[in-house]
Amino acid sequence: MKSITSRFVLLIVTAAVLPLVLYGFVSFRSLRAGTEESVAKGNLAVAQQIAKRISLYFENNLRVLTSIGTELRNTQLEPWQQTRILRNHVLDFREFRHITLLDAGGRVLATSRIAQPDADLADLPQSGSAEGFFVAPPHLDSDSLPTTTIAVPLGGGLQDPSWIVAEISLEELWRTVDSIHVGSEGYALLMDGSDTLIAHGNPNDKGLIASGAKASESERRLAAAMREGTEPAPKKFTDARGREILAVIAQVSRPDWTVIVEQPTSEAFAVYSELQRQLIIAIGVALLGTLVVGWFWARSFISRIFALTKVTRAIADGKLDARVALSGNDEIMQLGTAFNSMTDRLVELQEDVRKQERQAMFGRIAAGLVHDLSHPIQNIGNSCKLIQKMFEDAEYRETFKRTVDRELVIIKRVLDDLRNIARPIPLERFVVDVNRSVAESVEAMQPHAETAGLTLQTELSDQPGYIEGDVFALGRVYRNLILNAIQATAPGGRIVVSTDLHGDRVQVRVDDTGCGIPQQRLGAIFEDFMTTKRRGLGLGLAISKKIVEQLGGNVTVTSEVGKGTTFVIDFPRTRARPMLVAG
Amino acid sequence: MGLGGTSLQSGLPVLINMLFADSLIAVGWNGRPTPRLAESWTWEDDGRTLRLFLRAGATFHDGRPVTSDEVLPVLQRALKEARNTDYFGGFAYVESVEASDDRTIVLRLSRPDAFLLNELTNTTIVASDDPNVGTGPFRIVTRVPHLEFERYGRYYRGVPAIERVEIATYESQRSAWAAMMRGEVDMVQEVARESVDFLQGSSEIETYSSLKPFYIPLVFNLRHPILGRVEARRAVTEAIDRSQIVGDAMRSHGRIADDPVWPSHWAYSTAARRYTYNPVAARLRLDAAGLPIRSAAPGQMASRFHFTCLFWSEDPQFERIALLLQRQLSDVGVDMALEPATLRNLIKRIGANDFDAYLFQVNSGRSFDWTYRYWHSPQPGIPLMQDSGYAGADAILERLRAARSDNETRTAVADLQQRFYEDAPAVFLAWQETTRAVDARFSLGDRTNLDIFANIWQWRPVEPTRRAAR
Repeated sequence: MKSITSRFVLLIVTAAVLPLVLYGFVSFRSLRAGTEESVAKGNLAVAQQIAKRISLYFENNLRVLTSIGTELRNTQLEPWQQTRILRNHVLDFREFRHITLLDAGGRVLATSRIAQPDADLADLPQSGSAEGFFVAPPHLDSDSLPTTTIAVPLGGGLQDPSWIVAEISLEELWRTVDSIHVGSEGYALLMDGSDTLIAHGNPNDKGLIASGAKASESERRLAAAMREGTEPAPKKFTDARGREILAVIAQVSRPDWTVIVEQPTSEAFAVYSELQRQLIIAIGVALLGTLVVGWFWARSFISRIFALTKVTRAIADGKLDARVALSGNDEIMQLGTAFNSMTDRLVELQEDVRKQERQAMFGRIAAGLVHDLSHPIQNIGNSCKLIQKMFEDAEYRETFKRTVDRELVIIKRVLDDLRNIARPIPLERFVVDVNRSVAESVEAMQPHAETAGLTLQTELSDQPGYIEGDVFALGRVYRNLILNAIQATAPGGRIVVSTDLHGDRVQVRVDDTGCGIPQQRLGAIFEDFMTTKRRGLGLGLAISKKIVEQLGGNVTVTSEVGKGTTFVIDFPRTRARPMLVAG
Repeated sequence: MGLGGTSLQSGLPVLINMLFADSLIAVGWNGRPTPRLAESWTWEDDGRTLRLFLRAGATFHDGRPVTSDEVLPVLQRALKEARNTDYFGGFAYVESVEASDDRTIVLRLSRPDAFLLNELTNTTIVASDDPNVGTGPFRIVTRVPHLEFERYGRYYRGVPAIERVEIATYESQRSAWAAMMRGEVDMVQEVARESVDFLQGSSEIETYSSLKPFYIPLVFNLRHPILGRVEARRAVTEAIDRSQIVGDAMRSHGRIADDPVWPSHWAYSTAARRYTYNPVAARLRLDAAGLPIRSAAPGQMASRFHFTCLFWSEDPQFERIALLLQRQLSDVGVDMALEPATLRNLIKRIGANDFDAYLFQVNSGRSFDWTYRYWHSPQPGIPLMQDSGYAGADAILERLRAARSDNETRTAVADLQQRFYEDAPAVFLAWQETTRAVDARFSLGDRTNLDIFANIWQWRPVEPTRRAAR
C-alpha cells in the first residue's frame, strides 16, 4: 500500500468510522439498559398483579368461610340444618369441595361430607398462624387436580375456639396462571413456601406439577432472597434447556406463596435486539457508504498520481512519447498539464542536444578526416608535382612510387577504421600466446617510448597464457594502448605492460604514470569519435574495445588524475596450443 | 408401547382381552354384531339354530388354524360354566353346540334368543389346551413382572404396526397420569379431562372422550311405601335437574340418560317420551298423590316423605351427585338422607334388598342383555343382579330377547323406552363419559368405533418408535 493511500485510509477511519462506532457502542449500551429495565418493570407488574389476584382469591374464600362459620356458630340451627347449609355452600361455590366445622377439641360440629370428614384438628397449628389462617401444602387429588385445605379459626377466645376447615379446589389458580402470557413465550409459575410448584404456565414444564417437583435452583434462590427481606432484582439465569431467562418475583400476601414471571431474554429484549440490529445495519451501511465514497474519491485522486508516476518512469526509461492524461479540473490536472508541457520541452531540448552532438561529432569526424587524410593527400600532391619535373629521374620515380604507396596505405587504413567502426572487424582466430604477442608489441613500441623519454617495460606471467585471437588485431590493440600511454605520460615516466593468469581468464594490463583521465570522462572513453587530442578521429580505443569484445574479452579502465591510468584487458583462456610451424 | 391403568377399573381386563384373544363375534358401537373369527352366521329353524361360519385364515398364536375342532371345546366349556352359575346369560337356551365341519359351528336352542350373539361376543377364543395361546392381534410374551405382549404377525385382520405392548398398573389414576407425563407409558386408560387440559402442556398427548356403556341411576326400591307408587317416582323424576347433575357433579363429562337403552344403539328411539326438569310439576304431582309437606320430628326436615339413599362413597363424583339430588329433592319437599357405602357394602346391600334407594353406576352394554338382567324381575335362570321389586318391563324384555328381526327389535326397544317413562324403576340420571389419553405419536386408524380400544391393533406410530423425551 502506498503511503498516501494509507494516509487516506487513516483519514477516513478517524473522521468517519471511529465516531460511528463510538456512537453505536454508546447507543447499544444505553438502549440495552433502558430496555432491560423497562421489560423487567413490566413483567414485575404482571407478577404483582397475579399475586394480588391469588391473594384476593384466598381472601374471598376466607371471607366466605369465616362468614359461614360465624353464621353457624351464632345461629341456633339444628345440626341437620347446619349440615344442609354447609352442603349448599359446597354445591354453590364450586371451589369448595368439603366444609367442616370443628370445635376446639376437634369434634365435628357440622360437615358437608356425607362420609367421615378428613379434617383433623391434629393437623392444624394449635396456636393459629401469624396470618390468621392455615393453608395446607397443595397436592393433586386422585383426578390429578390441585387441591388444598384451609382452616380458619373462628375466634371465640379461649372459651370457644373453633375452626372451619374447607378442602378447596385450586383449579382457578391453574386457570389464572395458565392465562398469563408475557409475549408469546413468557409465563408465570406459582410455588408454595416449600418451593414446591403449584402451577406452571410453561407448557414444557407442566409435567413437573404432576410429579410434585420443586422449582429450579435459580427460582428457589430468587424466592429465598425475597423471603429474607431483600428486594430481589430481576434475575437472569439459564434454564435446563439452555435458554437465558429473565425472571421477576412477587410475593402473594396470603398465603405464603410466590409468583415468578419468566420470559426468555431472546423475546424479552427482542425490541432491543431488533433496534440493535437496525442500528448495526444503519451504522454498517453508513460505514460502507463512507468507505465506498472514500475509496472512489481516493481512487480518483491517487490514481491520477499513480498515472503521473507511471509516465514519469516511462520517460525516465527513455519513452519520451509518453504523456499523462488526467481528468478533472483541479490542481492535479494542472500538474499533469504542466508535466506534459515539460515533457514536450524536454523532447525538444533533447533533439537540440542531439543535433548539436551530431554536428559536433560530424565536425570532429570531418576534422579528423581532414587531419588524417590531408597529410597523405598533400604528400601525394607534392610528389605528383615533383614527378612532373623529375620524371626522367629513375630514382625519383622509385621514391614517388614508394611515397604514393605509403600514403595510400595510410589513407586506406583511415578509411578501413572508419568503415570497421560500424561493423564487425574481420578477425582470424588462432591460438595466440599472449606473452609472446605482448612482448612483440612492446618491442615494436620501444623506439616511440625512448623518443618520448619514457621507460617501457614488460612483466609477463611465468606461465604462458593462450587465447584464441587475431595476432595482428591484438597487436593493434596493444600498440594503441601503449601509444595512448606514451602520449599521456610526461618524459621520465614509466609504462608497464603485464600479463597474468586468473583461473580461466588471461589478463593484460597497461599501467602508466601519466596525467590520468578525469572520472567524468572515463565512461565515454571507449565511445566512437571520442578524443581529447586536437587531431584524429578518436576511433582508436573504440576499435580496440570492439576487437577485444569480438574475441570474447572485455576491457576496463581506471585512472586517477595526476597519477596515471590502467587499462585491463582479459580474454577467455583456451586449452589449445599454438601450432608449431616447421622452420 | 406402554399402557397404564388402575386395576380397579373394569376396563383393563377388557383391554387385555382385546389385545390377546378375539371372540367369534364383536359388538359394534351401535350395538350391531360384527364378524370376527366367525365371518358370517345364519339363523335357521325360526331362530332355534345358529350356524356360525368360521373365517378361513384365522390362526392361533401358535399357528394352528382356528377350526371347529378348536372352537367347539371353548364354547362347550363356556356353556358348562354358564350352567354352573345362576344366570345362564346368552347360553340359557342353548341345548347343544356341535361342529358340522371344520369351519362350521352349529348351536341349537330351545327357543329363539337374540342375546346369544352377545354372549358369543363375551366368549374369547383361546386354545383349549393352553389358555396362553390366543387369537388376538398380540400374543403374550410374559406376565411377570407385568404383562407384555408382542404383535402377532399372522393376525387375520392385519399385522399390527405396534411391535410390543406392556401393561402397567398403578394405584390411582393420578399415578398412571404422572407416569405418562414422565414418558413411562404411552396411554392411560382413564384420566380426568381437566387434568389433561391443565397438565398436558407441550407433551403432545391426545385425549379421546366417549360415552361409556355405563349409566348412573337413582334406583328405587319399589317395596318402599312411597317409592313403590308410580306418581311418587314420576314426581321425583321431574324434581331432578339432570342437566345440573351432568354439568356440575360430572363437569359435563356425561350425557343425560332418559332410560337404560344405549343411546347409540341402532334401535334407539329418539321419539320416546322423556321427563324434563319441572319442580313445579313435581310438587303438584306430589300434592295430587296425597303427599303434602308434614312437620318433621326433631332433628329432621319437614317433608312429604323421607327415604335413605345409599351411594358409592369411594368415588367423589357420587357424593357430589348425591348432594345435588338431596338438594333438588329437598326443594320439592322430599327428604332424601344420604348413606355412604363402600363398593363391597353397596353391592352387598343391593343384593340383600337392604335399601330404599341407591345411587350407583350400572353397566348397560351396547346391547340389551345387561338391561334384561338388571331390570327383569327375578326368575329361574335369571338370578338377582338387583331386586328392586320392579317387574313392569318383564314382558317387553322377553320380547326383546326373542326378537328375530330388526323390526321386532326396534318395536320392542321403543316399547321398553315408553315403559321406563310410564313406570320408571329409577331415575336415569346420566351416561358416563370416559377419557383416554394417548401419546400423539400414535395414529389411531379407524375411529368408527368411538372406543379407541376396539381397534388398538390398527394404531401405528407416526414417527419412529421411541420414548417421548420429557
